[in-house]
Amino acid sequence: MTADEEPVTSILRILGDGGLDDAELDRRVSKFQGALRRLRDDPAEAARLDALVMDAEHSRAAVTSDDSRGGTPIAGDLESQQDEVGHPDSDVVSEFGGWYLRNRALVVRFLMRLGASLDAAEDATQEAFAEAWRRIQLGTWADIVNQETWIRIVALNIHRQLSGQRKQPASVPVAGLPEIPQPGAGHAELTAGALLVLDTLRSLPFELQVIVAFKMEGFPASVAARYLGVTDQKARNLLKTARRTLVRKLALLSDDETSLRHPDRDKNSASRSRNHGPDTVEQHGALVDDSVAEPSVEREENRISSEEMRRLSRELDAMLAAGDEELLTCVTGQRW
Amino acid sequence: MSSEEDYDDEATGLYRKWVGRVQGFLINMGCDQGLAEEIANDAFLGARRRWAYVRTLEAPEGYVFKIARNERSKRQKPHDNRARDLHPDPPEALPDVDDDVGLDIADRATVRQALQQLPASLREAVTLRDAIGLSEAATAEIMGVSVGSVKRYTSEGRQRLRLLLAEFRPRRGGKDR
Repeated sequence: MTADEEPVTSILRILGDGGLDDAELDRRVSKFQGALRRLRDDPAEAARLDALVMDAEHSRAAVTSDDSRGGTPIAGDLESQQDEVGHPDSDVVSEFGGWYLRNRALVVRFLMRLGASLDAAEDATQEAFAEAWRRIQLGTWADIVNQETWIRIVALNIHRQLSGQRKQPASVPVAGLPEIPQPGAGHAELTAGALLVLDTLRSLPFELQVIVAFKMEGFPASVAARYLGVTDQKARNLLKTARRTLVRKLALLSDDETSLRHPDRDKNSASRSRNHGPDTVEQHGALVDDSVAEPSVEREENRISSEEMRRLSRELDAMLAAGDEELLTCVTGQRW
Repeated sequence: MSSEEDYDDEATGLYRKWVGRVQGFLINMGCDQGLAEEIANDAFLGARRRWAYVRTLEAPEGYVFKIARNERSKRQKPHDNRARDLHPDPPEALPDVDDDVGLDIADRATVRQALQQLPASLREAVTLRDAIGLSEAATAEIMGVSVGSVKRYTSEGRQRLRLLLAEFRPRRGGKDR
């Protein structure tokens, strides 16, 4: 601390005690002891406090402080509390079971779009549904307004926490082994189409990945905006940027991925060079620049018509949907 | 005496020692008195629910601060929004206090006002380090950031406060702990 900072520190000390004098402190302690006694006979209040503690333990601050707890797993602590929480009735259990079956594969796919491997996505999804189950036991599940959004955000947070440097288990470094595409759908491994979509999505910056992932799940841009802490308009702009980037990247990739190449692509490439007429849109030139155009085509031929842009956009949607479909088939055919 | 009663006594001891500072932290972070009291009580009661674990910690107060910090982030905005919709309370007559107490109240208000002008992370670091008196490591754990970040936030916060409080000198120099 420098000599200049010391007076500030001494000034701040007057704020440290919360303004409690001795009489007030005695009154508060007595009130606290009363609350402790009541707590023994009030399971609802106990459950509320347990939820509050769990929430704090799952917050970002709690995660980063795990190292200082000598690696005590949070889950272990929670397991010891299982008997203290309520037991939901059979209707709730059945309803949650159905919701779980409908949503689990979708959440795994959502995480895979955001860069998780299949195993990592399954782990984080499992944790997220376990957290949802704890909320049901605590009676706070119904308080969540949009449960579909909630489960994805919780799963994403868990995935990001688990994939952090501090959480990596000690292991032989074999990272970088590629997942191998297999022909056909409905098998356990990822197909080429799914891998192409995943690789392309993973190559985007994280913000764009989030925007696209929520959009592909059918959520409005405002959901991703809230997650990223940006305005709705900014999220919509990011979505446009993401789509432009994907058009460029997928067009590039399809040069090598002949199995995924659009059947009309060659014909369309030819028509593209003929099609820059009066309705040419200058700004869309950036969408295809040297990725869609043939290397020998002159710069002005990179200009692209509105019609062509719409076609490229449709092609992008079809490619994402096809890859997505394969991805879901792979995920659901995995183990459950 | 049962272990539950032992735990109650231990938790009460922690409460007596730290409740003022937890509440001070919450007020400095922008909570009004009522909300700060409510959250501080909940944080200690929550810690009591996990007392078998919390009592093994080197600094159990850090656990309480962490709960309090998390609850403030959840409750303050809705609380403030609700309060905005209510009719303000009629102004209370100022209590008849001696000069020392009156000056003490004025000092607190002045310093707190300056503190409110800092960004949240700087305010939090400065409050935990200088007002509450926690170590850099404990502050880092509560805030969920590295010790280096705490040093940076604290130093920057102090510099800004020094400018804001250039004309201010506490009448009684603050309390020693």
